[in-house]
Amino acid sequence: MIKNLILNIRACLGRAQVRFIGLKRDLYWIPFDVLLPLLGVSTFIFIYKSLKMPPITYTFVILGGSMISYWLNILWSMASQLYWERMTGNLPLFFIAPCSINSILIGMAVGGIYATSVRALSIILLGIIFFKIPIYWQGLPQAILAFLLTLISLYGLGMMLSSIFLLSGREAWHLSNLLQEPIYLFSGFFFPIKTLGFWVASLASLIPASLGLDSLRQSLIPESKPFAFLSFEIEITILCILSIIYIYMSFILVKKIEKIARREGRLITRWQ
Amino acid sequence: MAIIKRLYYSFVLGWKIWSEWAQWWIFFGYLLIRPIFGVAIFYMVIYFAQGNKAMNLFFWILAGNALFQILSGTSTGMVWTIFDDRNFYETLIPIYISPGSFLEKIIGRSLGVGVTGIFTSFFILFLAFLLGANYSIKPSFFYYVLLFLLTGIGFGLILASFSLFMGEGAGYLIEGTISALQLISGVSFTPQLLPTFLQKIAFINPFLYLIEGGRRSLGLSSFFIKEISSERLVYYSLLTSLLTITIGIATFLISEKIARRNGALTRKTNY
Amino acid sequence: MLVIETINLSRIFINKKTKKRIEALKNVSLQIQGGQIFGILGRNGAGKTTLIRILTTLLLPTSGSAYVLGYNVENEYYKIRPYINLVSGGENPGYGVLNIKENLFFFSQLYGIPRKLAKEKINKYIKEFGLEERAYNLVNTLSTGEKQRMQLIRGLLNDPEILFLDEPTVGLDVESSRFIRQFIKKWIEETGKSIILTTHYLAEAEELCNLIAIIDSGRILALDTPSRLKAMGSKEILYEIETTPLSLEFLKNIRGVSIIQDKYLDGKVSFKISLENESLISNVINKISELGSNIIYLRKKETSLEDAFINIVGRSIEDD
Ligand SMILES: Nc1ncnc2c1ncn2[C@@H]1O[C@H](COP(=O)(O)OP(=O)(O)OP(=O)(O)O)[C@@H](O)[C@H]1O
Ligand SMILES: [Mg+2]
Repeated sequence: MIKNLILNIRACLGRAQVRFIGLKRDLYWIPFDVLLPLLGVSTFIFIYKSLKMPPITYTFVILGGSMISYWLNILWSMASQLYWERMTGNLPLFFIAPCSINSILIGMAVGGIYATSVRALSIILLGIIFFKIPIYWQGLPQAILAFLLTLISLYGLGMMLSSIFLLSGREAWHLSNLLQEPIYLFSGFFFPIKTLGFWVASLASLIPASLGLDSLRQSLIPESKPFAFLSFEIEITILCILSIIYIYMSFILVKKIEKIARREGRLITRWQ
Repeated sequence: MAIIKRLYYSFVLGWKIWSEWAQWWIFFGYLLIRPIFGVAIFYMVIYFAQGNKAMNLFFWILAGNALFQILSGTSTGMVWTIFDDRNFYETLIPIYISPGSFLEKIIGRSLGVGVTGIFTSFFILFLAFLLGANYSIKPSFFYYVLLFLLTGIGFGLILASFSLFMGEGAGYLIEGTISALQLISGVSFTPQLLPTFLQKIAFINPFLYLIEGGRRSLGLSSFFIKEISSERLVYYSLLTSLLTITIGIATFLISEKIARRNGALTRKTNY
Repeated sequence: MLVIETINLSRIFINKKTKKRIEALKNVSLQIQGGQIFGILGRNGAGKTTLIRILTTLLLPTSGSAYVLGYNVENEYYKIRPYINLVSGGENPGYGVLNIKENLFFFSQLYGIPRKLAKEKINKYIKEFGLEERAYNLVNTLSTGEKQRMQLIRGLLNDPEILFLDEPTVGLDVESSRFIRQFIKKWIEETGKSIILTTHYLAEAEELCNLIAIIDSGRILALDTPSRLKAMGSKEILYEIETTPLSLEFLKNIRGVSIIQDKYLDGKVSFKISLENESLISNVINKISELGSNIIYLRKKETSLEDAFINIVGRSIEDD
């Protein structure tokens, strides 16, 4: 039992380390990684400027921008990852090894969170420097709680998507690419989701980024309370529930994948 | 004549690769879903800020984005074509060594990409009409669409030249240049809101005048550069796109030569 | 010790598009003893990889059963996994942005090998495989041979009881494949563990394997030592002889001897004969000296595994 736990922790850290090293080798692109999302989202800051909105709306956008980098990381480095591992021939070796695929997925998530946090924090930092966005630092403890829960549920969703993408291959990849703008809309990256109306916002809450962002904004910008969708406590509770559901589902899906792979002989092979 | 024929074939090939590499629903998804939700995001942002009071600004933004879409869609599409050819299909070399110049083929294929860009653009304008925009389309609108297509191809050639030598980094180059360009071309907001030094750059940026000309051809009143007449803009814009395409072709020919010398064409950059 | 046992193992694939059934394995029953290299020889599509996949717990049998180290592959797979490993030729798993050491370390962690031990092992193998100079190079800059050596090291990291090698030398040059073959032999001698090796190189099977199973269209057609398989190649006894000038008429008078080929060159006669039994050769030799000719060259032609393969499968391993 303990031996098994140690094995899985080692596998998890091993996979995370691949990401750390990858980030180190790619350091060169980090400025672009940070500047691009910033350029992209600053359009919305200027639109708020032209509408003479108060600077808290800039904080809305910048926080959204840093959340976007997590979402993109989920999409490009989590959801499509098992598919890529299959294409490079790693997947059968993961199956053959005594460790669980889950620990490998968690390792990817840990590595991804680390790499993305570097970007997300830089976006916020640049936002503070360039746009002088107001932030209420007393709310930081609450914000950290909300943020951690958001990450857990978001990466839980990513692990789940990873299995789904592996099952459906290129189609799912296109689908997620297609869903990029819809997700941007429903997660409220550029405006509070309350604006979407109660029912749409409720549905949108299935994406952990929506409630995560809403609770982050509540805790870091007290003036934004009137725009908040639900109270901070309720949002935190829902995020907890989402985390449990997504991680549990991802474990179930991994089991299912292994079953299908062994039964049908596809999934592990490269081009079928 | 032969050139036109070859351009036509490359166009068909480009269109096919662009459209047939996926099922129809995916293709139409890309064509329809992205613009619809792009429009929706702008709408929500403005609605959140001002309710329905700022619809004029909303339609002004949509017009700018629709026009800019032709330029950005075409140029990014071109770079992706080269990129995908090299990494995924490994067709760059067969294309390269088949008869006819490389440039012709790239331009021909980019026309295929350009058609989708124009489609998306018109679709955004159509959505704007549905939402109550009162654009009055002047004949010069089609002239501007053509200029945007040409500029897009020229700009795409410039980006493609650089991406011949780059790996995954090409993605950043493209996205970055396009985002930056969008920011200083008055696509979604007036450049007067930019910090002073960026404002200066914005006002010498020829694409700003191209967008402005395009907007006027939709009968939109401009919030800035009022002093320049629409006729002047017609000439400025023509000059801009001719210049872009000339620079594009020149850069491309030069970098193609360099690429051939140092073997960048055959280098696979992904792993 | 019996390390692998399969009983009427069958595997059917259904092609999703054409709805065609492919019987990749048909009633395969094998018993493989440990401490040796067991070869599976077959043409493309014979079912070698399918068999390996079932034994390495990557694929379920359609019917029949298979036991690896006494555990059923179907439901006790988690007990098998720590004790096996797999290296497939022509595939390069790993991460391009990592160097050889980092890649190997990653794979060692999937087996929970403690950090220090893993690093020691990796260093030892890198030295043995002559990869020291490349140890810090990113794997996407390695040559095919170097990549394959790295893969073999990966397969050894967990000290597997059974190492499965699926065409480990495919696509390698003579030197790289020789290196890998020699390493495999040494490893088996030193550790007494087991290797299951598939290949479609006859020479490789002959050189390495203690036992060879010949598989075709999913069936095991023969299973024996290389030398006994070769004996199945041909029942004929062939000799090649070269003498000083002489008329070959005399051979027609010895019963049980027939001429297969003859050539008259300047000052020499060279011919190939087939004998019904081994003792006839002394008659032939005597006759030649009686006729006053000298033998320049005489050689018994060995039957090859190639002949045996053609005999057993009905066609050569190479043609399409
Ligand atoms: N996942 C699969 N789905 C459908 N058919 C398959 C699958 N895997 C193998 N087959 C078929 O089963 C048969 C045996 O394949 P297998 O890969 O075991 O052959 P092999 O002996 O390893 O050949 P090679 O020398 O080419 O590697 C082939 O006809 C192959 O097409
Ligand atoms: Mg095979």
